[in-house]
Amino acid sequence: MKDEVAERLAHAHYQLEPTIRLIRRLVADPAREADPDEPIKLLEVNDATTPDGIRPVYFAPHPASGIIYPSLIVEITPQEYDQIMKNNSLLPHDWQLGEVIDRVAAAR
Amino acid sequence: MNTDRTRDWRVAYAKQARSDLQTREAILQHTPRLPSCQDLHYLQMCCEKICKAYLCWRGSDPKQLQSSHAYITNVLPQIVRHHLSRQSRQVQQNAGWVLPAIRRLARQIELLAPSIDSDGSIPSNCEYPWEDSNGKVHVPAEHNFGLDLLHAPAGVFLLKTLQVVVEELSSDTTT
Repeated sequence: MKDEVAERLAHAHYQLEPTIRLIRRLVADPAREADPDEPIKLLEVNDATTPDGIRPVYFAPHPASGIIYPSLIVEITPQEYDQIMKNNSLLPHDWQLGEVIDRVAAAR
Repeated sequence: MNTDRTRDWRVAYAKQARSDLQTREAILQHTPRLPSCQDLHYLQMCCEKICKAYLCWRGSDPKQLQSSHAYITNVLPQIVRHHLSRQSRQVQQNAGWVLPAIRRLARQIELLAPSIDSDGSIPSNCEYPWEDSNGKVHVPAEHNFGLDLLHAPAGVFLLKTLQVVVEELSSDTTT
């Protein structure tokens, strides 16, 4: 269920901001991810954002749009994404890079 | 003119704004299913104070800033524009849509304060119950404010920029 909601949110964001290049899940350990209050975590690579480091921003659930879990977005530049790809330890809280949600998958 | 006094006020407003922003984040991390009026309340207070901190940094007299809540609509876009102006030309080009989106959000955030009601036409606010023109009393904790930063263009950008700017303006060394 969380996977579906993450794709729904990613789809909404791809549509809202055409400058988003890529959206990717961030995942905590499985026990935490099983908690319904553990936020969906999306890493968004956006050409229109500023290089300010990894700054998670938190959101409440939004049931009206089907986002029934809390969420957290990390918005970064393409250059910052390259740095993370080279060094995963830049991610806080022992998060790991999860699956890429591409525009097509998100739109299904 | 940036005197010691305006610097002290700038730092004080920014530190309090940082505290408001941290409280919003703590609410959403630890009790994310509370009514939205709670996190919106702290967002509004953060924005109001960071706008006052920015005006102090630009040389405004701190005393003139104390009585009003009505700075967010005009000043928050200035803060974002200033932040963008320090970026590469490429980022500025890509972010051409950001500023108009921030202007819309800034107005919505300003209206969350109880003292801002657009000449009585928008009495809703995050803190106190209010009565509408039909005599119905509304509760902030049960109200849909129609402000959804998760689904608003530049909503994430705004929250991220607030984190950056509160750090900068709360620094004693910012000139």
